Amino acid sequence: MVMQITFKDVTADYQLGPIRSANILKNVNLALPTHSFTAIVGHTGAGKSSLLKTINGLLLPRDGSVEVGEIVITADKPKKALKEVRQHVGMVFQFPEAQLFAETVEKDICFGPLNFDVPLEEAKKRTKKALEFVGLDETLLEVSPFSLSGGQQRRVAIAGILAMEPDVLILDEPGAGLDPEGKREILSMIKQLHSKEKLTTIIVTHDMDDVAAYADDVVVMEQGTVAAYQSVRDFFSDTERLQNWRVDFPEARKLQLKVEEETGVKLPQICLTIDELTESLIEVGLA
Amino acid sequence: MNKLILGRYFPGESLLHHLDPRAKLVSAIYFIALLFVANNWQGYLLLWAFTFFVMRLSDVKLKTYLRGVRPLIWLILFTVFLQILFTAGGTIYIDWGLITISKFGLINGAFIFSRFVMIIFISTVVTLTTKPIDLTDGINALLSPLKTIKVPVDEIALMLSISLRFIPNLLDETQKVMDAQRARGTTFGEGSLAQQMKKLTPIVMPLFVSSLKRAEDMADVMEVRGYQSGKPRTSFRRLAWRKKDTLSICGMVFLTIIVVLLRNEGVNYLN
Repeated sequence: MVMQITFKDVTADYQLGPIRSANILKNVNLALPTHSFTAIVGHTGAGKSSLLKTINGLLLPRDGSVEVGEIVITADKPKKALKEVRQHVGMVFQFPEAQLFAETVEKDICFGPLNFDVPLEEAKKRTKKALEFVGLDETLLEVSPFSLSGGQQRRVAIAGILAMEPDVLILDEPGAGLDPEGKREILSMIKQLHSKEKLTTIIVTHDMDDVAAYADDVVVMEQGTVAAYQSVRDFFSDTERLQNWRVDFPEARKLQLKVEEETGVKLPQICLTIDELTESLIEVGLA
Repeated sequence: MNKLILGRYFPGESLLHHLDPRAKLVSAIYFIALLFVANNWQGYLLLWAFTFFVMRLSDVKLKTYLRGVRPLIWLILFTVFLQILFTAGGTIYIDWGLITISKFGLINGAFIFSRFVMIIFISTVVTLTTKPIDLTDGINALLSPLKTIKVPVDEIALMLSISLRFIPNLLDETQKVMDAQRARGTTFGEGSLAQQMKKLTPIVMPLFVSSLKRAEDMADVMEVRGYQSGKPRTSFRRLAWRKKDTLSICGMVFLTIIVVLLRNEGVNYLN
């Protein structure tokens, strides 16, 4: 399904009783094309999570509008539009295992689809498929989610979103708190799903290696505004600007800069992954 | 979620903020007792005036206090209503057999209403102007005589301060879980009461699980740092009783004298 996401002059804030927080998002204009894989980076409090929340109407814009495919979300709570948009947008929160509640894994994964009036049989079918996709065994269906390990719980929670069969998948630091191996597995699983199901994927991450390895484009958020929106390669080529933003480099790029500094030899391309770096080093005869 | 006023602390620099928590607690409890001493409109008028004076001193807007009453208003009106309907005596205005609206009923209703609202106002003043940690220190100090009859006062105070400490976290977490379940298609505040109750499971369950887990972690951390229940503990912050605290207690005594004087005169009035 074609699902471009367009932010038009989006301004939003959280109303906390008597305290009205400063604008969390300020005049955000952004258009993410359909089927793209976008990484959102930025410091804590830069508005990354809030930006995600406006996409499925958990945070409504005070001014401006967010368009997801054909659906338009504005300030005046269009209830039907919210339900519709949430059906198309699957959102995996930070530490999603905190949302598990049902007695069995199956019931928990079915929760989303059933809320959107998917027939029980179909929901169960999807559950099996989603569980298999996240790499868990079917025997776990009847087990309580609370008896699983942390990593397994994370996978069950993600399966709960996948079973909704969304067209847009949003993930807020899906790898946080996992060991490197588990993190890599989850991210490559997401990438695989992205290409297979032609999803529009948005991911918040702090790890520049993830950005380099999985994303096509990068959005840099700074104090509630979009500071940059570029392709990954363009983003990492501008060394000086990155240092100004205090954004880290991918490990391969760091090593490249170090090698260039030590040997005085400039490599022919910006290397974002270990493979690219190896290739370039062979090319210039350093390895 | 963020609308709850009773039990919240609003930072400030007013006189009330700087009073000793013990003075505030004793005065508030004392004032509540005093509400039951007054029995005529002069007495209540005086108490109302005092309540507004204290609210004024706290430097918090009246609107905030009214918001604190709002969640309880139906309970209050219900009680007042019962009082009006089932108190007999004096001139009768409406008579439907068992149910009558009489002069005494109306007076009683007004008194009950005043008591309820003033209790809420005064306790809100205390919590709005006292840091939760000061409040528990104050409670600890006031209850400490009970230690002689083996009441675990320190433990009670610690439990109290820990629970107060985690209220904001719990609220945050509730918000997060609600968001997550909303994203999975639940809509809150729709459907019949039974349906709405059912929708609470996906929120309450995760909160229970995380609270229990946190309690366990917390217990471990405390033990690692050498906490043992039943052992005497010193405290980092000491409460200091100052002149203004004594003065505020004197004020309360003065208020009592007037209320009692008004009361004696009032008995004649009611009859």
